[in-house]
Amino acid sequence: MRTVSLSNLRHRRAAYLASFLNLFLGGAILTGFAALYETGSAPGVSKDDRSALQTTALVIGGWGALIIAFGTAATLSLTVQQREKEIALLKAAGALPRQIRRMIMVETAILLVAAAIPAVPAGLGVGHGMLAMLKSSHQVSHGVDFKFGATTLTMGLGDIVVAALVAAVATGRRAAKQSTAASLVAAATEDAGMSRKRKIGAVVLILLGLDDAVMTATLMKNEGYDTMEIAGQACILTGIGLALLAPVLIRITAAALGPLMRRSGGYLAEAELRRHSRPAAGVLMPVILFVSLANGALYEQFIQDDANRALHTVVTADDKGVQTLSFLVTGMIALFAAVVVANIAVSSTLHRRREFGQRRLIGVTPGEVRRALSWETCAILVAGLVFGTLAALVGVIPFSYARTGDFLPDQGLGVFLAVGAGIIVLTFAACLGAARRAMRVSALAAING
Amino acid sequence: MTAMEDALRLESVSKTFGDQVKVAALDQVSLGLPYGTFTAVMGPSGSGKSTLLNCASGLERADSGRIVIGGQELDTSDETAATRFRRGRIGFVFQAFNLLPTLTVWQNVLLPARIAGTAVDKRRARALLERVGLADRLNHRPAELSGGQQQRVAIARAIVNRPALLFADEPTGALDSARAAEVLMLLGESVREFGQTVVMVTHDPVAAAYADRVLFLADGRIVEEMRAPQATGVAARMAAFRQSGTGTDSGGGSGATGHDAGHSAAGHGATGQHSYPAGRTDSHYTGSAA
Repeated sequence: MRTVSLSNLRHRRAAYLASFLNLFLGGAILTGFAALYETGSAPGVSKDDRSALQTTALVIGGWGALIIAFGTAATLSLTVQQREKEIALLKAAGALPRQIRRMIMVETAILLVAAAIPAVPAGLGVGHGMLAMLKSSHQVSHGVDFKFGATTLTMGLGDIVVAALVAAVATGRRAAKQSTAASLVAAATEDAGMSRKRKIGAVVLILLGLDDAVMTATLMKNEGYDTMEIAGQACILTGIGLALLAPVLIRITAAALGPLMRRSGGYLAEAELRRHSRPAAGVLMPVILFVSLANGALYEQFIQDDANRALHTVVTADDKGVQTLSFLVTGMIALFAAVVVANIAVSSTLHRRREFGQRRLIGVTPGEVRRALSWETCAILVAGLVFGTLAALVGVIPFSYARTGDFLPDQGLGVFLAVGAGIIVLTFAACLGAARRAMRVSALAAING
Repeated sequence: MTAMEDALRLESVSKTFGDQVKVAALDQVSLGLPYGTFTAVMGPSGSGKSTLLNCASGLERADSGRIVIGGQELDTSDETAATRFRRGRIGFVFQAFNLLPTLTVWQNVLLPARIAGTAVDKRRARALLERVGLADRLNHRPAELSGGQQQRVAIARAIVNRPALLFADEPTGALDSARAAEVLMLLGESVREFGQTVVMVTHDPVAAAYADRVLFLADGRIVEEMRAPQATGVAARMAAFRQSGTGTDSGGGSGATGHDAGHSAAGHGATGQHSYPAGRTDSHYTGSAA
């Protein structure tokens, strides 16, 4: 089966490239934070420096790790899901479930190693850069030396390794469990509804998020950066919880937009979203995450800055430095989420080549295929913006209340609109660009290839 | 305006595949098919029969020649133009059914009218589904139907818009003998009852015997025509082709391999996969149709 693994990696270069990119980016970002942590724990570092370095590493690295784990797992399981048919054929040809699981494991391991090798030096660069910024904004004294070692490697790569292996085990088990006949049929048709485990997981995460929200506004109200950390976690946990519910959310949205879609050429889009919601749900997951993370982190930072300003009255260069650093860090993790959105949107649209070919053969023009896809993308974005914002509010409202006594920050909608515009442009570009590519081959070739 | 226009007219249509080694899939093919006729196109693998169908319906672009359907020249300037031309005039029945999996039977049959933006003739759609025996399956999805049922839905979908021409590419290729006979009977009835014009590509002499006439294709040319065909006669002709080597069946010599290599993915899949070894004429469903 190892030969099969290797040839799979070679033949599905595009899909695996997406997973590789995720693992690499995630590994690099987290290695950077891990290096900060290790730098802070080195002997001879002053207590203040240690606290500054480790807080940065754990607060932001902590929820960064959640997002990266989720994004990595989502991308990897999509890659495997897209091969359901191929796996079914392998099983029909006599491959044992154990062999399928091993094949997926071997592929994942190869990807992990390939991504980790460049991720480590890139991550050390990131960590070094962050340390320099901390020094120049006088949060850390200049005498602190950049340190990295075993701790950096385990903390930095541990997250993606665990996330990837968990995804490999879960998808491998699912792929191997299905009977051969069932998997051939499943590959051809319907949604495999949401598992009980997934529903329970989603509800638990949302409850944890709400719990963090309550904590932010009450017990943890005056705990400085810790309050912000809890508020950040409230956004992320709720966001991941809602993201897990994506198949349900996209069907609800499709039902709500249905009348509008039917009236304007979205007839096929509606049927697709309601009957075959898995591809759209796959894109919706990281969109929710991106929206909740970007809005949550940015507005919380604004609120914090405002509160600090009210205390100090004079804004120092250091305050500016802190702000720049935290925007940069939020930016990095948002970039990761954006890459996940683009990856999943592109690979799941490309994967629909055959379905598009089918429509073209029965008389739908390429332009009309793209129009229907635009409607699907619209529904994904509406759902993503609504539920992502909801998740962000779960953190932002209590945090704003804790810091200012008001429920909503007075920064206005500028950032929210910018985040929204960014994700709209990105998702449309990824989906429609991939659709154009998917239809470059003739319809006949698309359904036979 | 005395003579009636043909439903389909091909004038010296040629199509070549391959970059280095040119293989002529269609070599100056000309033919005219009157309205209300049922024509089968036969030939060994790689003879160009699927290419003929794909070019005539605008799914593939011919290199040269003219294709006229219902009195109007096929516009293949780009896919959008070809699609718009096609969906008003041509129905297509595929070997793999090609029903959209997310739509119900009813929605699949109404789809051509919806996408063409023409009035949806629900009464006709219902009548057709009744005629193909699936009136009680309107809300089923394709995956819940057998292959034969799916193909019957596909036939209803293909003729619901009253196309000038119905093309069928190996419509029985994925069906067992009894289901195949039902589908072929339906195609025949659409000709006799609704005056539909049908062109069917097949490699099966039994299927071909349902048609009014059979055109034999070899190496991209029409080499023979047979009227009021009988399965045994058609099978004998096909066997003769195989022996004379004017195009070999896919199991056979290097000639066929050359054709297949240059052939489009579609032609390849449709003919290569389902071609049968010599001697298939007395196969399981000769009896059921005789």
